Amino acid sequence: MNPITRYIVKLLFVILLQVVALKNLELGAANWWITPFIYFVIILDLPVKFNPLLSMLIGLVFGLVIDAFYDTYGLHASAAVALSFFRYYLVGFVLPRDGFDTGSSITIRNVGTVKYLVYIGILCLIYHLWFFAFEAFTFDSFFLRLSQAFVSSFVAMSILILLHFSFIKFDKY
Amino acid sequence: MQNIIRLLQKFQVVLMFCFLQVLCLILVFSGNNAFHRASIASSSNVVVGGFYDLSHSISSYFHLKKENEQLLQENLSQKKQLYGSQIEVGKSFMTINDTIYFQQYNFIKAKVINSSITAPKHNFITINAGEDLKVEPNMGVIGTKGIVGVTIASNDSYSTVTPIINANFVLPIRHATSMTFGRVVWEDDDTYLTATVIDVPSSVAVDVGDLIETRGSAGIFPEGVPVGKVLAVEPVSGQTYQKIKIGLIEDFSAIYNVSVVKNIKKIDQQEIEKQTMELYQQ
Repeated sequence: MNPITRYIVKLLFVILLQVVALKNLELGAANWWITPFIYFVIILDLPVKFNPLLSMLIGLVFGLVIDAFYDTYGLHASAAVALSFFRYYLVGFVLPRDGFDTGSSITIRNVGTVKYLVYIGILCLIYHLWFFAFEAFTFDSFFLRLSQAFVSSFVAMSILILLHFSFIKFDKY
Repeated sequence: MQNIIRLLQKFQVVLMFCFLQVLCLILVFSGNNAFHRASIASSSNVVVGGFYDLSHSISSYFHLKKENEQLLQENLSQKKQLYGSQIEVGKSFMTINDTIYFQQYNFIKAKVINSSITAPKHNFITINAGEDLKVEPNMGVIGTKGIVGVTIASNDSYSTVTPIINANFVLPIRHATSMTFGRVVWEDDDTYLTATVIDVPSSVAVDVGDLIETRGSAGIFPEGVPVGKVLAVEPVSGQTYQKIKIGLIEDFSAIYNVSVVKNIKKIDQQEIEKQTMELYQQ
């Protein structure tokens, strides 16, 4: 499948998954800790040497889309822009020394499982920390907020890995 | 000038990041006032609102069963208040409690799990409420539109009902327009859509379309529950009553939810009637 078509399919699917399924997650008391966001995988999936300015703009646009659904006025946009920014510097660390096609994105097959998990884990954590920090915008109940971010990003990471494998299957059809 | 541009180019990513962050944070912190709440970046705009409408219209199908259950429950509580199910008890000289009204009829909801409509004489209905729900023989059963029948036997969790469309069924009724009493029976020429009213005097003018309702005298049903509508009136030669064919209000071919009527004062009524009969026999 054409990589751009594939990217658009994944984009639509991920945004739907975010605003239809994950937004309506009902887990009772655990709901407070588990508010995973996964839509930013569309930024993580951009090619390695993608223009950082453009990727921040993409983050802004889709952050605002999610903001519209969540009524959060720019919180997600801010977090997504920050994610794109940090991703730009982090990509260099997970790439192999040589022989990497800079036009392709980071996948398990390209960089190996461990590096992929590190890449996804760190960026998930950055996103959630940024989001929960700006949502609270106070140092009250700091550790509670911190645990909220950690648990949510762990859940988000698990979903992202599932998503990754399901799209590998999807590619085969 | 050259140097400034080169500097900007060198730090373009950081500068862009700062610029976008400031933009976002302005949006975040101005989001608290009412003007921005109504602005385009909220769920009240046409696209997002329309999307939520769509997703709700799909997800609401998953709750239909629960909603139905709730509506049934509500119907039941409404029915309790209707049909004159409350009688006054506070008319004596002294009232100790301030309770003027006393609940006479209670309703238990039940589902029809088996029924027949085509038997020549003895149709029956089975409902899923039995002795565990205090259902006993000789209790009235009301459907969603009108009466269904009277329970005849019950075990732990099921009861059988003699519906109107059974040759053994007899119930005192009244003609709603003239309030004249009669009885409803099911004769050989009746189908599952009809029944026959006898004992209404010939002098009473009965028109096609008049409502026949329960009389409430046997203590089985409350007063005024619909039974049927008059289809045809036939005079019977040599008799003082007329024969009335009625079309049943309850559709016995599609009957699912019923409520069983429990008359709390029934034993009192039976007792006093029995005492009276004994008085005559002496």
